Amino acid sequence: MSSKKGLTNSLKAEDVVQAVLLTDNFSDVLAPYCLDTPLSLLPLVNVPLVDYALEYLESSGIHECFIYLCKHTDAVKKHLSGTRWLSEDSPMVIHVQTAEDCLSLGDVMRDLDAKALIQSDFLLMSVDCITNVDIVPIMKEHSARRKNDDRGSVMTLLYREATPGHPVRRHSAQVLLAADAETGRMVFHQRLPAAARGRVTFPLHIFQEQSAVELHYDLADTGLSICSPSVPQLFADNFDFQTRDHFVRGIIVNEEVMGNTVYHRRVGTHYAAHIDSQATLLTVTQDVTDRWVHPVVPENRCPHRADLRCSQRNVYRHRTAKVGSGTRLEGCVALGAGASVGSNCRLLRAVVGPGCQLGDNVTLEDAVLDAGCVLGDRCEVRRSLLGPGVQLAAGARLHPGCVLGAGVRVEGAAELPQGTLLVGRPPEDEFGGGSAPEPSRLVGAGGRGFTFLPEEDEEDTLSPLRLGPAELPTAELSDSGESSEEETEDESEERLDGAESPEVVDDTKLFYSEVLDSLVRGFQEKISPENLILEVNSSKFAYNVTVQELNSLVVKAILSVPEHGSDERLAAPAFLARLQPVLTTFMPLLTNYIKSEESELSCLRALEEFSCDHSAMSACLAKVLMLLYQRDILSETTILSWHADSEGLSPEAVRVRQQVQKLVDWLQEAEEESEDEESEEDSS
Amino acid sequence: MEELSPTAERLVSEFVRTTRRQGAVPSRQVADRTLELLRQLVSEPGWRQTAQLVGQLRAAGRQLAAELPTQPAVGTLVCRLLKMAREEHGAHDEVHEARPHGAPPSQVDSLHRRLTAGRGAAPAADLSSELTGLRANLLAGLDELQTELDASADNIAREALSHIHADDVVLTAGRSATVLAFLRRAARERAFHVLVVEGAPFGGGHRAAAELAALPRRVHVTVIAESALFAMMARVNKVILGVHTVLADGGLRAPVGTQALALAARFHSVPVIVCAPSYKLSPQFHRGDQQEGFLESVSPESVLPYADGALVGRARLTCPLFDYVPPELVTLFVTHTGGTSPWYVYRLLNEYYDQQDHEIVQV
Repeated sequence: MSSKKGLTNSLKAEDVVQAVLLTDNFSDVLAPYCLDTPLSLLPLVNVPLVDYALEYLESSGIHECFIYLCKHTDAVKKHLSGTRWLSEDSPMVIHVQTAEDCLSLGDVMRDLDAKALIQSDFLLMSVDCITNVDIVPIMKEHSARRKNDDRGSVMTLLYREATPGHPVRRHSAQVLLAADAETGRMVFHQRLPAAARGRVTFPLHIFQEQSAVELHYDLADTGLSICSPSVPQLFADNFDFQTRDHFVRGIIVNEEVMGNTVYHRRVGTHYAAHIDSQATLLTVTQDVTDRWVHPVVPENRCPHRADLRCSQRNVYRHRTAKVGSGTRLEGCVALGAGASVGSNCRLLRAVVGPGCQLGDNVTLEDAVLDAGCVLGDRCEVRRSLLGPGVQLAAGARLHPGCVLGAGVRVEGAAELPQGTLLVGRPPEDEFGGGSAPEPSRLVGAGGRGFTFLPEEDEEDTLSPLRLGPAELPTAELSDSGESSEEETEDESEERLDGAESPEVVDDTKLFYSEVLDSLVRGFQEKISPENLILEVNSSKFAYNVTVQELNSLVVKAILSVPEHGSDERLAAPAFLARLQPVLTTFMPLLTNYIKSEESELSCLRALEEFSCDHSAMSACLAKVLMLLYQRDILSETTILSWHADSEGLSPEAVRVRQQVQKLVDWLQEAEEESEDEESEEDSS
Repeated sequence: MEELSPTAERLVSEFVRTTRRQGAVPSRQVADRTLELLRQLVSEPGWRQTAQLVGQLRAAGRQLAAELPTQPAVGTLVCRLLKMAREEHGAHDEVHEARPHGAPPSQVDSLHRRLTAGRGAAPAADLSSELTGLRANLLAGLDELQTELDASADNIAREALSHIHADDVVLTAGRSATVLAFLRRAARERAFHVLVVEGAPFGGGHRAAAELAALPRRVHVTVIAESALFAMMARVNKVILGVHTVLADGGLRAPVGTQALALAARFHSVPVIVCAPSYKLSPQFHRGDQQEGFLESVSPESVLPYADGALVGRARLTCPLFDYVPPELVTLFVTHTGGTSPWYVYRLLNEYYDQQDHEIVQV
């Protein structure tokens, strides 16, 4: 160790380039393919992911790397101890941090903060990121910006350009961001589900504050980010930051308060991809065999290059792999150590793991076989992932999208339909007890394999096939890229729910229900309005709700109090009768939040939106407005300007506005009169 | 087979790592670094007998050639050093054996000796003795080699005037530092016209053309695309090329596109002149298309950007770096010692390397 310490000591503290490598993705997107394998040991073209990552970090000139092991720590440690990474003469110092209690990126960062390991800007990388980006200059760029231009710059996110519908992003959450065109400072960041269509709402202020704004929907996430030393601390200060997306959103929302900023940068002609779904795993496997990531190519990853030969059409054969006569290796094929392929097989874009045995007449297309798979004669596997030790009897056919976990055994000439997910051991019963689940019928008599049920709460609304089809239907492809023009106007009301990212919806909805609960309780138990304001404010911070959202949500919550707890809708008079005491009680609350013209407007809009799908409310909207006007919460100018601004209204909204026409007329007259009076006064 | 000592192993794998990391750097730079590595291997105190050193070097050479098949300088310089070590040892033995006829040691490798010695008798020289001063001599030899490398571009350029005449139309492809030095030298005295083939997709030709156009004595520079090659060849007097490796049969491993160029030159009977520094001369043979590592491919990013989702994943894209050019398409090699025909490359090989060491660079 002494020599290594010498190395790091000889450099000045701020010159040491540090990296944090996460060996977990804190999700099970790759299950059941790697249910029991740690993510870092997941083989990509027969080399564990962690070796790619460490090789990359070392070759790009990182001096010090912290590896965070969160799951399967022993297996990963064992693997690492067998490699050259931990040996003394490795030019990169590696610190293995075991943190089994870390359940998210946020926990890891808080741990980093607690241990005070970071002294300079560092690279944050997940082990499932495959890249050849020249990172040190980008890190220098980040440091220079932090020193010279923008002290608050805390993170630079790296993105790879990829047109919509590109295979590398087709099945992942899509990135939508807006950034200052000159500096690359991000002013808006949102994740959209993979197959999302429809509208997206950008807050107006992002266009008003910058002289030029770039909107990007042509980027794929790389899983790489460069962080300032203050990032772990920020995570520690905000215990609700769990993922990088939370962090980015939090920083952008609180930019004015905290003065922190996030930047983005494209990696140019380099390759970078983040394996965040099984479909991406296949794509990245193909990209690596296609040599997109050069010099990260299979023969360079092999401990001894001479062991793996690359011939034309990107066929990588290990010295010890055997191939029978008449077998066609059509392109992008990797055969691991000791793999044997029978005669007259056809392999296209396939990875055959070490020790796999393939019978005769086997067809593999877009298939990845982990170590030790045994395939009988005439098997056909298309666009599927097979975990370690999977056995297929002669004649088995796997249709696209099958994923078989470790140890699955398929007997008989079974045919597995599209999107079959099987695991080799019965799924754990979370509630204990219950009879042992039956093996899936698909595996045939004597086979082993249980249907894998993905957990419910996942945001995996992407496609029913977790692996995704090879090609999306062209129609879907063509309009997933552009926002659809033909959608009718009435959808504009649903924007808040429909098009925003799942996170945003969740947060605002949670916030809304929490506020509603506090108000109902407050109304019933006569809690003083000051305390209610405190409660609402704390919920606001917990869910990162903007001020505008807050105002309209509070108004809506107040309006829903009268009907809370009952299913049926009240008729207009009864509703009004109940609403009046509620409004009177919460008047201090309203006075507290509705102060500026802008908040008045958002209050009015909230009233309008609420009335649109609530007939009783729309009937008594005029009365409510009158009341608020009398209490000086709404000013007549705001009401008038709200009413005058009638562009792009839905039919309901028009109807609602007709309800208040009288009031508006009256207000207008009153105003004119007062103006007259004023002018009279002026003249006198 | 020889095994590397742990220290040597570390040096070699460190070298391999750094070289791989650097990616595409001029081969001259790799040659310099290889010499540095060889200096370290020689000055390492672990070996005492010549046989030990030779064993170490052969093992290192074999590993380097296998790990870095696209770096010609690495294997060839190891072979040069091996030849030096064997010669030193042989010369020393002969001096000490005090031959009765007093035959001068320099004749040790003469053609006559080789012919009369018969097969198998000569090579099994006994290297197991310990030789004082061998280390110092070899280090001095490496310094000489360094001087040779430093001067080789100049020495090759010296030949320029006998190849390029006034008003010649010369064609070159891509960017080769040796060729540029050659043309620059000719441009000092003569006015001529250079056609530069752009060397797609890497665009080395563009940079070369810019450098030539910036010369004080103006050369007329025209840049053409690869596809225009055949059409333009009729006007060309001479093709002057750089090379990646000169193979043992006089063939070339050259930047991709060179074979098409050489064939076009053959069709129009235009002489093809190849500028080759001595470290690019390799005892390696080309053994057909399946030879792994011979035709290295890199990322197809320069052919089609990865960002283009409409094509990536549907079309197969490859971007090979090298071509094999058979010896019959090459007219002349210009090395630092002068011109050589491809058919006499074997003579140079025998001059530079010992036959026993040829095998270590065969991948």
